[in-house]
Amino acid sequence: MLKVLFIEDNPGDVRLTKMAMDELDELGGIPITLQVCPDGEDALCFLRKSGKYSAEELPDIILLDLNIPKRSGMEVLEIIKSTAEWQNIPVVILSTSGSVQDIATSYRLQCNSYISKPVDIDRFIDVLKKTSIYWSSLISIP
Amino acid sequence: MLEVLLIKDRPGDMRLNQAKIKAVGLDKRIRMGEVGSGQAAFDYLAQEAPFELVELPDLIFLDLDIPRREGFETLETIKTDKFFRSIPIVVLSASKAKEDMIRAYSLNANSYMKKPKDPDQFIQAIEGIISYWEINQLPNLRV
Repeated sequence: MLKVLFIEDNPGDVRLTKMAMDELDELGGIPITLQVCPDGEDALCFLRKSGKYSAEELPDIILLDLNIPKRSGMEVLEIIKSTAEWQNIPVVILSTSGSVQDIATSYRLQCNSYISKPVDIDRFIDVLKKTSIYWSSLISIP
Repeated sequence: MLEVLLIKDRPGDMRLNQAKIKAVGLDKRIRMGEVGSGQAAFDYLAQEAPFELVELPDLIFLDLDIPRREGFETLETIKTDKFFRSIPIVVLSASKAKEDMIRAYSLNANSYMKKPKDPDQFIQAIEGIISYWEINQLPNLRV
């Protein structure tokens, strides 16, 4: 079971991600549970297990959009990678931004990988599937 | 085409080297340099002699099984360097010890793969890793 925290405010992208995970599940891949947090503050509450998240477990992997409300994705990345309890959780940036600056800063802040969201829906789903297979089957994570 | 640096010991390990890359056709997708020690890796990244003409890699494969202590030291040194820390590093290890994996991630390894013993499975896994990094945006440090 792979526990994925998806920090994303776009409902359409959340829906597509769920579709990709469901397709993978039907193909007999590792089951994935998806926790969605729509903004940076909510994501930090989830990781701190505060309030409504007190019974939750830490995720195995985090998918992070850079363009989220309340706290930017970059701020959230920096906090995660500088907090001992969370630092080892792989963070995959999943962003519409293809800016050279965003890419450079994200890697400097030690994101584990950076994927630009394809505009084409089929390609987006394909990218999500490849991402899931990589982190659930090829690579070992803490 | 991805520029890849492989840091490994044991020249006799034929499971991953230039010849193997070419044999399975991966040379059409990656250009791979090889070094056999942590010091050589730093010289390569800094384009010091004899590596003056190499390209800075987009991706590094670091075999932890260069003597284990050196593997972790090499990882730490690259990932604390202000410039080179941005280069993604995929750590490869024969170790089944969970603490080795945790230590690698705590030193900011981007990914950690346990090396399959079977040579065919190993090269298939490497191909899978390359396929993933081909869909990633990578920091272009060469400009």
